[in-house]
Amino acid sequence: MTAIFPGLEVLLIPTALWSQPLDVGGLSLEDHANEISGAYRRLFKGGNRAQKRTHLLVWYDHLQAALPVVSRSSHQIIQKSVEPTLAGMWLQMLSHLALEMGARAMGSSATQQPFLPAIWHPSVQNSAPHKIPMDVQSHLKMLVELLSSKNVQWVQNCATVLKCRQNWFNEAKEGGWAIIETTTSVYASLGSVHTW
Amino acid sequence: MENNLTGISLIEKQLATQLPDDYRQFLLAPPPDITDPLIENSIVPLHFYPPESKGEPYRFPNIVGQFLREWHPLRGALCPVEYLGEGLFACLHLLDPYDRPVPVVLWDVTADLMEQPFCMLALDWPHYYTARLNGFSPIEANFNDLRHCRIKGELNFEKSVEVFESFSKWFHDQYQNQNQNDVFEHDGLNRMPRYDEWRPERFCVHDHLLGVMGYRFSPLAGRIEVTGFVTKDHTNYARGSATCALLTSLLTEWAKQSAPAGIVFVDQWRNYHPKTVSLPVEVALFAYLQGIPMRSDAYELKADDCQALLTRLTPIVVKDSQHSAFKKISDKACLLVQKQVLLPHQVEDLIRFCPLAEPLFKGQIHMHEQIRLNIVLEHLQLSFMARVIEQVLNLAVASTNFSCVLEKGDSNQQMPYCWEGISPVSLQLKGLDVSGPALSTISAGTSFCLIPWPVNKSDFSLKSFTFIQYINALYGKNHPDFLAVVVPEESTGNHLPEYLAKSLGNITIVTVTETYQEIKKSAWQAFQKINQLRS
Repeated sequence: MTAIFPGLEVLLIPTALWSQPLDVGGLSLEDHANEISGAYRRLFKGGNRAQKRTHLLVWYDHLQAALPVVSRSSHQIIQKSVEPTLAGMWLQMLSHLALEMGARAMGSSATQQPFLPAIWHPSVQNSAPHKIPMDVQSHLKMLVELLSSKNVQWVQNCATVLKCRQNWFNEAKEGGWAIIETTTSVYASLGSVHTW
Repeated sequence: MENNLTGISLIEKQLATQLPDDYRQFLLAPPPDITDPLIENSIVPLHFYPPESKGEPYRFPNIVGQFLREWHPLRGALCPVEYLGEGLFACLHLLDPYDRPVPVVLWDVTADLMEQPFCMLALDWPHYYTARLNGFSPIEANFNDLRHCRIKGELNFEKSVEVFESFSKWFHDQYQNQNQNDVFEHDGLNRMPRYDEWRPERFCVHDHLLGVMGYRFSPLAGRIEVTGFVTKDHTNYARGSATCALLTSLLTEWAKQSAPAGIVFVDQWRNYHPKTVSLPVEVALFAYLQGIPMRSDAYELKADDCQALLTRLTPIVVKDSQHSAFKKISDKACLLVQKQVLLPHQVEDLIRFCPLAEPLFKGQIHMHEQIRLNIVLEHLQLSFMARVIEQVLNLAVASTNFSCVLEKGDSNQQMPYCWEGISPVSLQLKGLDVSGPALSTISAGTSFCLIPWPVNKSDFSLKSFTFIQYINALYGKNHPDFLAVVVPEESTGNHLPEYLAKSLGNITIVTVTETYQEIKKSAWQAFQKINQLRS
């Protein structure tokens, strides 16, 4: 038995659903996203790191719990799945993207810290320098920049998945949609007989 | 023939390795006529099985077992083949580092590692056997070496003690100077030395002192520097265990600091300038016995040697399913086992099933990368659930008053992280059926497979039907005698819906008292600990 890659999914969330309060907890997906980006900001600023880490994890937990309920109740969500054969390359791309985003978010002078959220706002956030770009448009901009840089080895290696990601983010940008990336459980990705 | 095969497999089980081909062939050949005075006077190997012995070695049956108990840290490295008298054995060196037949060496069970003669008696077993039949006497041939080794061992020991004493004196003096005359004590109130400062270490079990050393990580040279490394075996503990323990501690430190230049031994206290000295005899010999090519006058353990030695001392075995070869285990994986963050079987499973195992062990999965973090936590949860299953099984075994250790089998695993095995006794586990909590039984001598499923309450009610169907389809008719899905008791609410009960087929639901939140917390804590270890 070899390594088991999880199912990787990209969910495109329509704006109406994005700001609508959910049945679970009464907060909207946008509120979740705001809390998470706030937690990231505080984490980057330093301070009590252990507390902030827990804070971030708790909000992701809330999101994870809310997502299946949202997915079931709404048929407006578009679900994109990464092909199982590309999962390994997708994971490689994520780690490179995280390094790239970390360097951009922290500025070149800071120590490199990988950073890649899994939830993306539909519209451009306030572009003040202290804000970390966590929206579809700025991520798309970064993807386009990366794809045009011919000399970076990893970009060439991961070109297939990068283009795939670019297409999905492009679709979201044009429709004004938000994006949430998720993974399925280990067992869910074992066979094709079942879909959860 | 059959008796001999049983006997050989018994020895191989004790040694946890295979005997060399030439020696196996010798044991399988028709036994020499022991009534022949010529043969009786010359050699009777320890593993000799006449037909009437029913697989038990003919002579000295206990000596082999005693030898292996006495030298437990060298299990798998040495196999005694002939007792020569006065505590001396001819042994096969099974982990010989060079590409040649397995040589026969001389071993003294009464001497410490540093006093061992360890001289080669013959290139391989057939040469040794022929020489012995022709009247070759190993003790007479090496008599001078034996005496010389004892004296040299004692001198080395005294020298190392002297070095440690000078180092210790220097350490305490400078500690007092730097800390307002405070004396350094082991009470937790003192400031502990930084990772790159010299620190003395004593290795004691209860009141028995087994070894001392001083070491530091030198960031400039990228190596661990060790001084005054002395070990002395204690009669209450297996021989070689002191060296083994101190060396493991050093190697763990090496893996923690990722020192690219390995480990060097220095003596700077008596000469006032850093001077590398040759490896302590016991370390060099221990490494050589474990299959690391090592010259007796070597003065460092290179990073590759450290890696090989640490892997050898850490009980992780991962077989590559496709090539049936052993996978290379990284130093960080060994570090996690030695630091007791994860159990060996957890690391084995993660290496086998988790695509991000290596980045996880190296601390390269970052809090800020949500997707990769999710994947890792998911796998860690499964591995901790497997750990809970191990506890449940051990408890069930303990309640039967039968002493045995259930081992996690790895053959034909269809589901990741599951516990497969054959139960030697009848075991009772807490389960669930339509009427509520019920006991399920694994009968003695039957095969079982326990599949961990860390699940919360809502997922259990939503997904259990699909999951059960999937497992039924996966195993089909080739299912083990006892096939169970293990879930947290809290998530089931101690209630099994009727539709689910009907779909179970051959599957049993086993429950554990740990809640989903607790398992998740353990996974998260392990993740944090992994990242806290210096990487």
